[in-house]
Amino acid sequence: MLAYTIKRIGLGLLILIGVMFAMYAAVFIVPGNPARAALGPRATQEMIDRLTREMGLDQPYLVQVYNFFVNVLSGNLGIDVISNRPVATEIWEVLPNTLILCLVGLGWATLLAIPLGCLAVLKRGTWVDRAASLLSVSVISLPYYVVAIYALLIFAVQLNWLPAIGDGDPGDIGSQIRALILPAFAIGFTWVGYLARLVRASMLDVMGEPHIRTARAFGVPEWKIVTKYGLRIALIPTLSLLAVSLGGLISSAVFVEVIFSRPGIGKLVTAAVNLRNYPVVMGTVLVMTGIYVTLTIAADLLIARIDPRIRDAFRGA
Amino acid sequence: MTALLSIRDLTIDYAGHVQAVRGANLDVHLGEAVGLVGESGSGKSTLASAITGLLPIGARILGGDIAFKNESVTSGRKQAQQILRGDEIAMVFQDPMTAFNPVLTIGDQLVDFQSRMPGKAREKYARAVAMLARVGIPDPALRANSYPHEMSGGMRQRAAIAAALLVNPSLLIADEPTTALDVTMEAQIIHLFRELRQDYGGGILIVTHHLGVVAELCDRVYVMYRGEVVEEGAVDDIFHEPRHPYTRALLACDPARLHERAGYLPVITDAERATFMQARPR
Repeated sequence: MLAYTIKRIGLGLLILIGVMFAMYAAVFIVPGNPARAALGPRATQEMIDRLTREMGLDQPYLVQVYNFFVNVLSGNLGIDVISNRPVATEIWEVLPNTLILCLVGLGWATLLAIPLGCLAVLKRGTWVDRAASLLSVSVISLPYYVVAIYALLIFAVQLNWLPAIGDGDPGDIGSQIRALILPAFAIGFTWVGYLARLVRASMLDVMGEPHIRTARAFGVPEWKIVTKYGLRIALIPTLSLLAVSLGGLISSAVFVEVIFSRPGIGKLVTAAVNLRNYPVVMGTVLVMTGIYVTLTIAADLLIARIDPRIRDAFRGA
Repeated sequence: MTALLSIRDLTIDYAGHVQAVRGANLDVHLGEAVGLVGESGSGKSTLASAITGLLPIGARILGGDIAFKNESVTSGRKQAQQILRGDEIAMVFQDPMTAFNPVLTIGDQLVDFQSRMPGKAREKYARAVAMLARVGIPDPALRANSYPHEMSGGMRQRAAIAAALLVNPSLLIADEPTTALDVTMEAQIIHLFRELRQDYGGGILIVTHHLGVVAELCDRVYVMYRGEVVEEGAVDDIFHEPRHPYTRALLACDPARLHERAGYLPVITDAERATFMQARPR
């Protein structure tokens, strides 16, 4: 298990290094000089040349990647060319905001989707099952930005129940929670349908297995069969698919933060891309990749935790 | 002697067009081991799963009655059969590889299987460990803490038998208990059943296609063919004087009963099958 964990972490680090190479390649390919963009239209060629040197953009590709890598190892993600503040600090300020948004968005979706999926299996073939299926499919087909815009129009603009933009007043937990509701709703909305269908499909598979029949033959209560004997196994494929789709969660956070003008990684990175603020773009993309890799590893370890067969298979790995 | 289990004129069909069981009669008395034999598709497993109401999806009882301890369980409330499960009736299933949940330990499952029994979880666990020892599993405390995939097929079938005995049922139904095992394991499980019968007072119904199992374990036997019980009687009688042509043909196919070496294993031919249908059930 330990060997497996180390292997997975090693693989994750390789992915991060790969991302660094790709990002620097993008700087070379994408038109527009970052130094010129940073200095604005009135900058002289001399100023641009100086900033290009300072940013190390005149160095060969591999040297730039190497310098970036060494800096990252010491926790230095570079300097924001516009505000002149360290990128690491800027990310650190807004990172909790994004993490909370993702967590709450996925959290409420999961808490609703798992019982919904189980209910559909328990009431299989009845109107409850059909209603749950219909609901899931319609919810999946709505993109989160549409949900976000309509949620904003209805609940913030028309009804004026919740704030439309921002992340609440600093220090005021109540207003922060109120500001979190709509973005988290928009992010989780699609996931409810997606997860409920996944849980239903995996549960149907599991509930047909002979060991469920054994448990029934011994009079184990049906709720216990579903939650302990069925769901535990059904969660394994659900978790692995969830791990793969976490990238989508992070990208949906980017959109939703822009729509709700909510401070966060997504807001930071879109603003930085528009301004050709390369150090910020690279820092944020690296951190987002890091989060994605960490969550994937966490999901894999969780699966191994649930399924002893997988645990044993890794014992030799 | 009144019957523990009494099945009368039971008819079961699948999806409305295949009658898997047709007008079957079967009795099991306390203290007796009854065999139910027949080839694949003869309806014997369907009949067995109907007793506890665990028929596969699509199958339903068209007619007849199943009575347990003189009370009908098929007419009336649906729960009647469910209450029997894991209490009055316990089952051992065919494939020990898949009969246990793969992500829970054997001990954990044996505790859950005693859901109808009184007592705290800790007591049930201790009972489970003792029963694992009773069915001949070495190092039972360790095994109770193992997952199914960590045990061999034979050991899992022993654990399945332990599960059934834990609830101290009046009727033990074993659906093809040795079919998924190799010959050595099969002999060991048969031996175990014989041993357990000495202090188990309830009735046993063994569903199998293996005549050797019936000869070793059972007092009486029912022979099923194409959904019908074609012959019924004491094991000795049926083995020595089969009356129905299907029973005769089935016995002739048992390699253990061949007197001389044959080039091919005997089979029941289509010409023979044609004669079975004219024969009346006995």
